[in-house]
Amino acid sequence: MSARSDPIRARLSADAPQGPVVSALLVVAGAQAGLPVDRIDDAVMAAELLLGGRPAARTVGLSVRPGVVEVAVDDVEAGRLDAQRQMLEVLATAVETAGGSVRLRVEP
Amino acid sequence: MRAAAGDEAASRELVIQMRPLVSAMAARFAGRVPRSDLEQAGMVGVLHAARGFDPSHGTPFGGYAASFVMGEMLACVRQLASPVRVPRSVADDQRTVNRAIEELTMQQGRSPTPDELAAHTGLEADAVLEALRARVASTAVGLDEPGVEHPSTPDPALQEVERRLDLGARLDRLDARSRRAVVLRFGLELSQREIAERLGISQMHVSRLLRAAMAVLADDGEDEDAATT
Repeated sequence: MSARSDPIRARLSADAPQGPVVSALLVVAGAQAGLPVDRIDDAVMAAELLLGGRPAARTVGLSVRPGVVEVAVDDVEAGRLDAQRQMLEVLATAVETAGGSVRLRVEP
Repeated sequence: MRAAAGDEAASRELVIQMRPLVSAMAARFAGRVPRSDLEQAGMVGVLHAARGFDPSHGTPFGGYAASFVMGEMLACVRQLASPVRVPRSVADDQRTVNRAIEELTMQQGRSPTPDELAAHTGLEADAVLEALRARVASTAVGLDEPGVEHPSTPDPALQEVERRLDLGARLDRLDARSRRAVVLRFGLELSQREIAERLGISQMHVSRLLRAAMAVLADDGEDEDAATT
């Protein structure tokens, strides 16, 4: 469930440009998975929603297989997830949560 | 004068008459932003000009409208042209890729994949990825930058969807067009292509509007969190 089980995993410090770093990785991951450009955009927007807000160190995991990109973010504040959940559920094919971890699956 | 008074048929006629002027002025910005966005901004300028035009002054409408058209196009360029400095070769590839996205979306009726973009443009896969990364970086721009003001008529159906969307006062922070894009995306769950068709703008423009809007909505979500803790 958490980012710790993903093949690509990064611990990003609180002062790192988390959104731009993860967005750049998601463009590559989305291309490898064969996602259309608008779904790559959706994945980027969803990740930025999770990574915004108060600066905090976070672990981000990425998993890619044909037609599927998964991005997991640990240490997401519960209130933040609640506020963004409706939009996340439109942007991502599936949204799973467990504790402070969120996993988004994006498909075409 | 009839267009200024809200006569829709007269407005349509005016837009048709002014199309050559708008198209010629859009050509000055060729390659910087999608031409369809420039022409639409130009038409907004024409309609703004019509509201304040007084033929008794003796100035031909075309000459009077030109400054309005140019103003709207400049605002459109400021809004859409990338503020992120990238190497010239990447900027060139980005323009090629942006055009290809629009062309393939129209041809296929869906958004293309990066592999399809590479095949269509003849660019290497890595160059397409670099262009897409630059595109993502350039769309991450706030709504407070200068933009085009678009007159908007309230749509009762969309207002109902808005009410169902649980975004509350956060929507009030958005301009009319961004608000509509958000409601269409998250309320009606339309794709970027479908929203582009509804709003008469490019998919790139929709992507940019949505990402800027999301930044506003995300920040407000944080504020709300803070207010409740």
